[in-house]
Amino acid sequence: MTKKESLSNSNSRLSILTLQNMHPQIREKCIFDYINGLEVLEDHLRVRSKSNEQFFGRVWESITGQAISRQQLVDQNITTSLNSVAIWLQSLQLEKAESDLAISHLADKLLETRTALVNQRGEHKALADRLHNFSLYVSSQLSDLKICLSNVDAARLASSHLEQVFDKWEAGRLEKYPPLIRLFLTIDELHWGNFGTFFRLSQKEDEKVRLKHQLVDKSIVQMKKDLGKDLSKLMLSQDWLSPIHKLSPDSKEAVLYLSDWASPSNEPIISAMRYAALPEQYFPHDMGDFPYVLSGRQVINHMIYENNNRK
Amino acid sequence: MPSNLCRVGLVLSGGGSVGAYHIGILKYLVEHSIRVDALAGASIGALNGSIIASSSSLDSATKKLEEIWSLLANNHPLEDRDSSNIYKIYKVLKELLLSPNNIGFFDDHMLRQILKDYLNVYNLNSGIPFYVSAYQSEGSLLDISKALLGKMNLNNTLPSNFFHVQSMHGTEQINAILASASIPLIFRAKKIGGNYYADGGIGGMKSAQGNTPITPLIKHERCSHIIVNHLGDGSFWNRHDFPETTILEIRPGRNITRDGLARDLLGFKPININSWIEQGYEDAYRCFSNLGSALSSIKIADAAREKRNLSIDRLNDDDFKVF
Repeated sequence: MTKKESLSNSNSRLSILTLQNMHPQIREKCIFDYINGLEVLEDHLRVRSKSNEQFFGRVWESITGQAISRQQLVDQNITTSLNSVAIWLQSLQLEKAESDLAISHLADKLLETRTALVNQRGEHKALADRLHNFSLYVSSQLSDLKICLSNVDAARLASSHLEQVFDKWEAGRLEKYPPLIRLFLTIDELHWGNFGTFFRLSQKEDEKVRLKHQLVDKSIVQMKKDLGKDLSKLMLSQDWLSPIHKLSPDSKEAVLYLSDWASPSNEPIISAMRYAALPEQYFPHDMGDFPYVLSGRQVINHMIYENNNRK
Repeated sequence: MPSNLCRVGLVLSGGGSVGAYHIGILKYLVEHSIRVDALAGASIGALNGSIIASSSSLDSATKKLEEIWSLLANNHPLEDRDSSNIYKIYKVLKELLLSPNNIGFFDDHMLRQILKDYLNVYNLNSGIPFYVSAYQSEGSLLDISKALLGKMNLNNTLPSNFFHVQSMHGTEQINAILASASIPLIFRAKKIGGNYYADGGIGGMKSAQGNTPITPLIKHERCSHIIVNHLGDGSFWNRHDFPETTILEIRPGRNITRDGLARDLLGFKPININSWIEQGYEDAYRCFSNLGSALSSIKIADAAREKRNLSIDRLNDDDFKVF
């Protein structure tokens, strides 16, 4: 049902269509007659009131018939004003009804919008959940990707570090130290750099095994060069350690500092090296079951093993 | 034929020296840029109206009328200071004896001079349509008797005639204007065509037909809106006799009479002239303002309704759907 139909169904005497057919000039005339008619009324009432104040005035107005004429004009203006007001009020009433229908229509639209919003909210929630799950999935994938990338990079850096440290040993930068200390310093430097970080953090066991073998091989090659002999041959422990006594105090201090984590029970070789650097120049036989002889390979394997177990 | 869409007419009624009131109304119209498309006047309204119709604008007309009324305040149009009392008595007797049918105890030379000095005939003929009302004289004594009886509501006078000034030529234009202001016994009736005419305010006394010459503005000029003024308290003129036209009456909000009917008609006292100018503005302001408030509230309501309907149409026409 349209707004017009519903209003026509009401029992008002003037329908909207009737009003719409009235020219705006007629409505304007109604307003003029009503508002300006009040001015006319006030004029006549003022004159009548003044003439009524005096006896002669009243008599004169009655005799001449002016009182009646004036009354007729007053009545006519009142009637016209009331008619205008009646039309105006009806018009206002119908306009109010039209406004109410408009409000009702708006309320229907609002309800429609709210219903749609509620539906939308449900769909939005489902969408949000899916989005959240997707976000978590992507996040974990990204995380895995980062780890992969990190691992790839870490392995490369560890390998590069290994090369770099052994290049330094091969270049003679550790010349002033005896072979055992050279080995220790190299392994210690690897522990604190990318090589050691990779071993501590990476899950890639195969890569770790490969690098460890590479470390062993490189250590053997370099120790062989430094000692000038086959590393499978046994040497006295004293021969390994006594050169340490001859180190400068600063160098000994450095060795002591770098090896302060070692314990004789768990890290016998490094501890022996450490004791050799002490001012008292302890010898490992004083430490109990320390072997008298050691081959180069044994030294390398032990030192790498002891360093691996470092906390 | 002029269009009927919002064509504004102005009626200036008669009332002797109370005619200064018209200046106050004009001042209001000028202030609020209300235009006038056609004009009609009776008696003093014809004299004032002729100045308005022959001026280039309402503003210049107002200034001219202020000058004229200042002159009238200082030089009474009926005063003859130069003549002795004996001469005045001689003139009265001469009028009574020589032209008993058309008696005018006073000379209208001052009014003629004012029209000569202030009325631009060229502008008048090319200006807004201007009508004057004049009463066909039956003899001065009969005219005045009937007028008095009409005023006492004991008899009605014949209706006044209306003359379109721009349709007349030469001296006939001035005669028509002066005829409208020729109060019987005060000034002689003037000849227009083959007949003599006196003060237009006399005609149709009971309903102030002649004194409120609205008819030619409706019938000939097809004015849709007419401003009517009254120079008396409680005028018996009835707007409902003209149901097809939208009329704004400027009625006095307080007594317009100062010294009594007769004295006000011919008084021309400076103090009264100034107070009538003031009251004219005051009454115009009040009548227009009351109406203006009502009309503007309707205009606002109409605009709001239009906007509402437009918004609802837009709402109905959008593509919003609920699935």
